[in-house]
Amino acid sequence: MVELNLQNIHIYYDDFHAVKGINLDIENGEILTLLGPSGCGKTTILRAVAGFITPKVGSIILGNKEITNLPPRKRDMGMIFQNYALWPHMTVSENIGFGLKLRKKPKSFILSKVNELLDLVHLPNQGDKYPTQLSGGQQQRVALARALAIEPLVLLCDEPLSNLDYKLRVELRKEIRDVSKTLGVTVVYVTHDQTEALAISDRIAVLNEGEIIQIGTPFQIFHDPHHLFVATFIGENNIFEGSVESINSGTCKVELSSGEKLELVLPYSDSSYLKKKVKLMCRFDPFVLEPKDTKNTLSGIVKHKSFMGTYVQLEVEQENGNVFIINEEENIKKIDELALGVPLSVHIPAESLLMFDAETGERLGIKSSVEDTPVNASKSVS
Amino acid sequence: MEKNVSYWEEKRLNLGYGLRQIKNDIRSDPISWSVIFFISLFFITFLVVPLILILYSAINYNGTIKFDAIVQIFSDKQFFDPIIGGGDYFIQIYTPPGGGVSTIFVTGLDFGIVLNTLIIGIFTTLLSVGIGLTTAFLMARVNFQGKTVLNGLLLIPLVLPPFVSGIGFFAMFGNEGIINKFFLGPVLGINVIFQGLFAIIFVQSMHYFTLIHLNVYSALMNADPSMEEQAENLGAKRSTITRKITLPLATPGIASGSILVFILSMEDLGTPIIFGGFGDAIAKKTMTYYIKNNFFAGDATTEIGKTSAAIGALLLVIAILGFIFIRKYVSLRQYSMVSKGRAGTYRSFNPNVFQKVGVYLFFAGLLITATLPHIGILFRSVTKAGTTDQFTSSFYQLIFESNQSQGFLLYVQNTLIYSFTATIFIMVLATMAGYVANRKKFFGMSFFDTLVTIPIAIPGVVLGIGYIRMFGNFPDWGIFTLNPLFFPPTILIISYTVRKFPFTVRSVYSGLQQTDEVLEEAALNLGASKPRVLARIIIPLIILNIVGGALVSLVYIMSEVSTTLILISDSRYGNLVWKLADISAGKLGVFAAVGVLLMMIQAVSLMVTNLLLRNRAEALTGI
Repeated sequence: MVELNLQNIHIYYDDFHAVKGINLDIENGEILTLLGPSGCGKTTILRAVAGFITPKVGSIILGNKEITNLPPRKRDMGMIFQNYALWPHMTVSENIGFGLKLRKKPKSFILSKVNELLDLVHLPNQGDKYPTQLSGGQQQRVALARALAIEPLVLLCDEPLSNLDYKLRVELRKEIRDVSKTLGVTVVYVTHDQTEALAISDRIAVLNEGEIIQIGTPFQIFHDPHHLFVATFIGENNIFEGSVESINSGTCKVELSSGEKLELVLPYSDSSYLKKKVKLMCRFDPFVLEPKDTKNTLSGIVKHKSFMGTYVQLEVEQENGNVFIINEEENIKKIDELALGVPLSVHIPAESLLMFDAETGERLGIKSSVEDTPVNASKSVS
Repeated sequence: MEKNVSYWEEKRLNLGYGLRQIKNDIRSDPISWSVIFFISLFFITFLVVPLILILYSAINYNGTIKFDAIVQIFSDKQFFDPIIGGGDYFIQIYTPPGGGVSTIFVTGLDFGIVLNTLIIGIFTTLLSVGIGLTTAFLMARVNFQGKTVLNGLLLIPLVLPPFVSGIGFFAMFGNEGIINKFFLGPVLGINVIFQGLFAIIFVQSMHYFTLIHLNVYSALMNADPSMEEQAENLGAKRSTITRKITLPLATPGIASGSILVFILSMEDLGTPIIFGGFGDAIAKKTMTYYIKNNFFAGDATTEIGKTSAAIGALLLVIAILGFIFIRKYVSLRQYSMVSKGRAGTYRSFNPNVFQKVGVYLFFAGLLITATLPHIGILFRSVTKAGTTDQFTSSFYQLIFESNQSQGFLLYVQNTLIYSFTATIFIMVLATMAGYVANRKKFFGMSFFDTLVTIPIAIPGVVLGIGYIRMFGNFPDWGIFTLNPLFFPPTILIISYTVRKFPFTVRSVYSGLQQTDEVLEEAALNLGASKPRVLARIIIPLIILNIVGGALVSLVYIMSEVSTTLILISDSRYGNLVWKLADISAGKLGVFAAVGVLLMMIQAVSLMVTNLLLRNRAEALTGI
C-alpha cells in the first residue's frame, strides 16, 4: 500500500538553506503532523510533497514510485490551504467537482459524489451557494470536501485551521481526523499550534530551523521530549539551571544556581555528566505543596496568584530572584485565599524532572540512539 | 388606556424622527456635511445641469418635445450608413500610371459618423484587450529575464500627449514618412499608408492597451496564489488553470479597463483632428469631430445646434450606460480584493527556448510599433524640414519665443496656469470628498460617490457644449464670468477640475481604505478636534496618495483636448494643446518639439506617481 517517504530532503531559497536533510517515513493511513515555529521549514516541506517546490537534494517516494520531479497535477494529492483558496467565481458544487471534471468523470457520478461529500462535511444542500455566502468554518469544510473528492492518496493540510476561531478549530480538527480515518487517507498536516498537533496526530515531527528535532506519538513528544527545544515548545515549563553534583545508580543530584539541591531519576547515566552545566525542566502541575519531608523541596514567597477555574496558578519567587510557576488543583479554595508574600515550600517528585545539557539542549539520561530521534541527521551530509 | 395612533400620525412621527436624526448629525458633524453639500453643489452645477441641458436641447423644439434630430441622425447617410457602398474599400493598391512606387492604402470602411465612432470604440477596445491581456499575463505568470526593464518600457506608450501619436505616426508612416521614404519605398518598391478608421484604431490601440495591461497586471498580481495552486494540485494543466481560474479572477480588471478604453477611444478628438488635418476625409467622420466643428446652430448665435446636441446626447448615453453597467458588474465580482492568505509567489510558467524567443519577439514587435510615434516625433523635432540628417535645435528655441506669431511662450504660460490651478483645486476638493466618501455613512452616499467618480465617463465635447449652452449668454464679468465666449480660462479650469477629479479621489479613497479609522479615534479620544485630526493624522498618512493622484490628474489635464478646443475661442487664451490642434505641415518641427516637451512632463509625472503609489493601477486608470 501507499506510504510516503522523504529521503534526505534539502531545500534552498536562493542562499537560504530552508530544509536541511529531512528523512520521514509516513505510513499508510497515518496522520503525521509537522510542528514547529514559523520559519522552521514545515510549510516548505509540505509544498515539496505537493510538488510546488523541487528539493535540491533528496527524493520523495510515494508507494514504490519516485515522485520528486513529478508536476503537482500528476501527484493525486489533495491539499487544503490556510485561506481556503475557494474559487469565488464557482459555486460550492463546482468547486468540489473541479478535480473530478478534470478527470473526465460522468456528470451523474460527479453530482452524486459531490452530494456525498457535502453530507460527509456536514454541509448538505449548500452546493448551489457561492463561497462568499459561507462562514469561514463552512468554507474550510468545502475546501476539505474539494480535496477529498479526487480520492487522493495523500491529503496535505497547510495550517488549515489558523484563520478560524477557537471553538471552530476544535470542532474542525475532530472532523478532519474523523473523516480521514473513515476514508483511510494518509495525512500530512502542518501547524504551529501544539494543542492542535497533539489532538489530531498519530505522530508528530517537531521541526526547528529546517531540521527534525524529534518524531514520536503525541504522548512521547509531550512526556518524553528528547531535546530542550521540544520540551519548551510543547506545553508550559519551569526551567532550573544548575550543575550535576553526583551520580548514583539510577539517580543523580543537581545543585541549582539558587543553592538548593534536587534529585532526579536517571535510567541511563554517564560519568561525563559530572559537573556538567544542565537545565532541569518541570511542568507546572507535579508540585506537592506543604511536603512532609524536606527532600527535593524549593522555597520562596508567593508573588502572584491567578484563579483559573479548575486550578490556581501561583508564581513563586525564590531568594535569588528565580521564579517558578505552580498549577495547584487540590484544595483550591484554601490556596486561592493565600495572601501574596507568604512563604511557601514545595516538593518536586524526582520522576517529574527532566535533565538537558545546558549547552546543546540535548536530553540527558536517556540512550541517545533512540530509534525515532534522528537528531542532526543532516550533519553527516552537508 | 392605550393611546391610539393613526397610520399617518405614525408616518409623520417617523419622518420627524429621521429628519431630527439628520439635523443632529449635521449639528454634531457640521464639517463633513458642509463638504458633502458644497461638493455635491459643485458637481450638480458643473456636471449634471450642463449635461441635462444638452439632453434637453436635443429634443426641445420651442417647448415641445420632439425626437426629430435623433430620427434625422439615423436616417441621414452622413451619420448612419450601415450598407457597404461601391466607393468603400478597406485596402486599395494604387500604382501611378507611369509606373514607379505603388502605394497600399489601408483605410477601413466608412459607415457614417455614428457607426464609425462605435466601430472605433469596439475595435480599439478589442485590440487593446487582446494586447494588454497578453502583456499582463506574460509579465505576471511567465518566467523570463528583463521584466524590470520591460515594466518601465511598457509605460512609454502611456506617455503620449494628444496629437503626438498622430504626428509621430505621420513622421514614420505618412506619405513622406521615414519608413516609407527610406525603407519600404527604396527596398520593396511600395509605400504603405494607414488612413481612415483603420489608422485611428491602430494609433489608439497602441496607446490604450497599456490601460488594460496595468489593470489586468495588478489584478493578476493581487490574486491569491493558492487559488491557482489548488487547481494545479487537483490536476489542472497550465492552460486549464489560465482558462478556468486566472482569467475569470481577472475579469473585474479586464472589464473596468475595457470600459475605460471604450469611452476614451470614442471621445477621442485628437487623433481624428490630426488625420483630418493631413487631409484624411474618413478620419474626420467621428462624433466628436462633428460636434467640435458644428456645435453652433448658426453663425450669429450661441445656440447649440440640434444635430450636435442629439449626437452629443447619444454619445453621453452610451458612455454613461457602459460605465454604470461595468461598475455594477465589477462591484459584484471584486475577487482581486480577497487578500493574500500567506506570503507566496506565483507558480509561474517556465518557457522553453523557442517559447522564450517568441515572448521576446512579441515584446520587441509591440514596443517598436508602440514607440514609433515617440521616435518619430523626437526625430522630427531635431531635424530640419524635409531632411533626415540636418539637425537643429531651433524648434525648441521657438517654444520659448515670446513673439506671438512665431513663438509658443504664451501657450506654455497658459498651459501651466490652467493645469496647476485645476490640479490644486482637485487636490483640495478630492481630499475632502474622498474622506467623506470613505469615512462617513450618510443618506445619499452612493449618489455622492457616483457624482465624484462618473466624470471619467463623460465625453469632454459634450460637457464643453453643455457649458456653452449653460453660460453662453452670461454677461462679461471679467475673470468671474463663466461665459467661455468672453473669458475662457475660468470655465476651462472648472472643466478640468470636474473631468480629472476621479483620478485623485480614487487615489485618496484607496489610501484611506488602508488607514485604520482607529488612528483617528485615538486622536479624537485624546481631545483633538476633527480639523486637527485631519491635518495632523489623516493627511500626513495619505499624502502620497494625494500627491500621486494629483499628478495623474495633472497629466490628464495637460492632455485634455475636447473641452480645451471647444471652450477656448480666442488665441490670447490658447494653451499648448489648443495650439497643437492648429497643426499644419509647414510647422511640423516646432509642433514636434512641443510634443516632446509635453512627453517629458508626462513621463516625469508618471514616474513620480509610480514611485509614490507603487504600481497602483486604479490610480492610473481612475476606474
